[in-house]
Amino acid sequence: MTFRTRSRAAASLIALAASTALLAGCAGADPGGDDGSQTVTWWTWNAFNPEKTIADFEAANPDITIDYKLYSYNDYVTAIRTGLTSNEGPDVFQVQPGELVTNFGPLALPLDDFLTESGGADRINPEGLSQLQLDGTQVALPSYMSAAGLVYYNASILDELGVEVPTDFDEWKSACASIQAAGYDCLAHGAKDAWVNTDVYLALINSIAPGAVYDAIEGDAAWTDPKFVTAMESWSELFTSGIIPAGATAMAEYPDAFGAFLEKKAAFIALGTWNTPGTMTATGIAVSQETVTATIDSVYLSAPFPAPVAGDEPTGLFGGPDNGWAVSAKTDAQDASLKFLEFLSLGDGQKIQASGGNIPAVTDVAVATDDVVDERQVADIERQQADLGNLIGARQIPYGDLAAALGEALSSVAAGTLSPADAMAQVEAVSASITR
Amino acid sequence: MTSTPTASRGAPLRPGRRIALSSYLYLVPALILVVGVVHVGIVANIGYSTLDWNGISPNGKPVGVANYVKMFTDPTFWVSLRNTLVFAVATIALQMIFGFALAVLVRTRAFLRGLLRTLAFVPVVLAPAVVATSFRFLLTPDGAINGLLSSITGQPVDQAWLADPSTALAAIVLINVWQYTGYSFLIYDAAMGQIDHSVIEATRIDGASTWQLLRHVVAPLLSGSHLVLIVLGVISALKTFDLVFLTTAGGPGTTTQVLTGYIYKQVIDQFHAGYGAALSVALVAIALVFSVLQVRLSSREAR
Repeated sequence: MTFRTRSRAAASLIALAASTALLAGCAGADPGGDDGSQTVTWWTWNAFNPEKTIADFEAANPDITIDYKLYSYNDYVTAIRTGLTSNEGPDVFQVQPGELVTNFGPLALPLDDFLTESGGADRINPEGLSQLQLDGTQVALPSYMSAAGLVYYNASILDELGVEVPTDFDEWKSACASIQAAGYDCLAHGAKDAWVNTDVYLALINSIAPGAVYDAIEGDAAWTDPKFVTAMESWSELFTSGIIPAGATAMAEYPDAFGAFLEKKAAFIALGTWNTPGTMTATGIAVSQETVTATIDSVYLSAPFPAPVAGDEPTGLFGGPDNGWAVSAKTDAQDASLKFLEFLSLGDGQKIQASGGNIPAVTDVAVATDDVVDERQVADIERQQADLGNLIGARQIPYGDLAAALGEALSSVAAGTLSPADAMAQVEAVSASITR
Repeated sequence: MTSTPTASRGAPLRPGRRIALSSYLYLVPALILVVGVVHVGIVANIGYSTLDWNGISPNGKPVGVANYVKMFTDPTFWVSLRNTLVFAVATIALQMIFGFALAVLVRTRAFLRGLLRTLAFVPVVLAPAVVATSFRFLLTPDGAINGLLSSITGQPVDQAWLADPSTALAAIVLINVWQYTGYSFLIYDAAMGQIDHSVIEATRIDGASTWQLLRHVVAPLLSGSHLVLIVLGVISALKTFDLVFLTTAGGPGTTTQVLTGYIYKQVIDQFHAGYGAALSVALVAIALVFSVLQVRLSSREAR
C-alpha cells in the first residue's frame, strides 16, 4: 500500500466513523433494567417545595429514587410532547386543567381504579377531580387548589396613606389617585401574559353576571351579548383610567409585575390564592426575596377583585386544581409512580402544601396559618380556603383556540388597537367555529 | 510547462470502483445532515400540513388542503407575514447603511481603529435571548433608554417603547440593528480592504469629493457584499424568533407578531400541528424564493 492509498483509506474510515457517530445520536437509549431499586422520573414546571417532597418520600420509601426535572413553562410544554411519546420521558408529569389535560390526557394512565382503592375519591375536593378528567376518565390528581378573583394589596401602603380597600371601580379610581400622588403605581399588571388578562376578565364578568361566562365558553351564549361587552369595556377602563400604568402591555406578570409589587412600587396586583405563600408566609417571603433586590418589608393581604359596576357585588372565587399529577401510560415503574402519586396528592405531600400556605386538594387538611408575618393574614387565609369550597367555575378555558382569541382580544383592547365591541365580535367568531 | 499528476506517476489514473466509493463516503456525514434532517423534515412537514393533528396523538385526521385554505383567509397570517417583511426591509437597510458608514469611518481614521472594530462586533456575538431580555428592561417607561433620552432632550421621556403598538415594531427593529450592524460592518470592512488603492487615488485626482467617491466608485465595487448582506439578511429576518418572543411575544395584540412566532403559537400553545406545518411550508417557500434568487444573482455576478 502506498502512502496515498493508506491515507485515503484512513480518511474513508474516519468519514464512516463520523457518519456512524451521527447516526448513533438518533438511536434511542435502552430503558435499563430494574434491580430492586426503582427510579421515578418527575417532570414539572412548578412544584411546591420539591426538595422536602423528595426527601420525605425517599425516606419513607428507601427503594425508590426520584429523578426530578424542573422546566420553565414554555420549555415544559415542548419537552413533554416528545417525552411522553418516546421511551425517554417522565413517569410522573405535571398537567393543568384545559389544553394540557385534553392533549396529554390520552397519554396518561387512567387513575379511576387507583382513586377508588386509595380512598381518594372521598377525600379530594370534587372540583379538583372533575377538572382533571377527560371524557369521564380521571387522568390526573390535583396537587393543590387555587382560585383567582382576588386582588392582593400592600396593606402598608394603604395604611400609611389612609386609603380604604376599594370594592368597586369608583372607589378604586379615587384610591389610585391618592396612591399615585404618593409616587406609587396602582395595579401592577403584566398585560403581555394572556393568562393573567383572562383572569382579570373573568373577575369582571363574574361580577357583572356571575357564571354566565361559562355558558359562553360552552357555546350556549354569544360573546357579543351586552354583558360580555360591558366586561370588556371595564377591562379597557382599567388602562384608560390609569389604574393599570402605561407600559403594562410589554410587561410579564412574573417577574416584572410581581417584582414591582414586591419592591413596593405598586399597591395592587391581580393574582390568586397561589400567591399567598410568597407574600404572607415567612418561608415564602424568603423565597420571593431572592427574586428582587429591595427588601420586602410590607404586609400583604388579599381582597375580592373590585366590581366594575358601582354598587355591584365583587366576583366570587373561580378556579380548581392549580395543577395536577399524571402518570405516563408508558411508565416502566408503574407501582413506584403510583406510590409517589399517592404521596403527592393524598399523603404527606398534601401536608407539605398546607404547611407552606397552599390550599391542599384533600378537604381534611387545613392550611397552616402559623408562619404568617401579620395576624390579619390568618383570617385572610382561612377565608380563602373556605371560599374555595364555593367556586363559581374554572379558571382555564378548555378550548385552546377560544383561549387564544380571548387573550388576543384582551391584549388588543388594552393597547387601544381594537374597540371592546369589535373585540367581542372576534371572540364570538372563533367561538362559533369551534367543535365542542 | 506544467507536469500532470499522471505524468509523474508514470501511468494514467483510471476511475476505478474503489476510488468512487471512498469519494461517496466523504459525502455521507453531510448527506445525513442535509438530506436526513433538512430535506426529510421538509417533506414530512408537507405531509403533516395535510392533517388536522394536535402533534401528540398517533394519528391526525387527513383534511387535504384545508389548512392552506385556512391560511390564506387567516388575517393573523397576513399580519405576521407583513410584519416579517417590514422587519426584514427595515433591518437590512439600516444595517447596511450603518455598517457601510462604520466601515468607511474605520478605513479613513487610523485612531482607535482596532477598538472600534471590536466594539462594533461585540453585540453580534451576544446571545439573542440575552439581548432581548436586556432591552426589555431598558425600554420600560422608567427604563434606562428613556432616562438617557430625558437627559439629552431635557424633557421627561416616558414612552412605553415595547408596549405601545405604534412604536413596538420599530423598537424591535432597532434592537436588531444594534446587535447585527457589526456583522455588515465586518463584511464591508473586509471588502473595502480588497479595493485597489489606485482606483481611489485616480478618482481623487479626477477631483471627486468623498461623497462622490463613495457613491459612484466604492459602493458599486462592493455590489457583491450588498448582495450577500441582502440575502443573508432576508434569511435571518425570516428566522427571527427569540427577539420578538422575549420582548413582546407578538403583542400588543398582533402588532409585532412574526411568522415564526405565529407558527410557535399555533403548534405549541394551541396544539394545531397540522396548521403550523402549513405555515412552515409557506415560510420555507418564501426562503426558497430568496435562495434561488441569490444563486441566480451570484452566478450572474461570477460571470
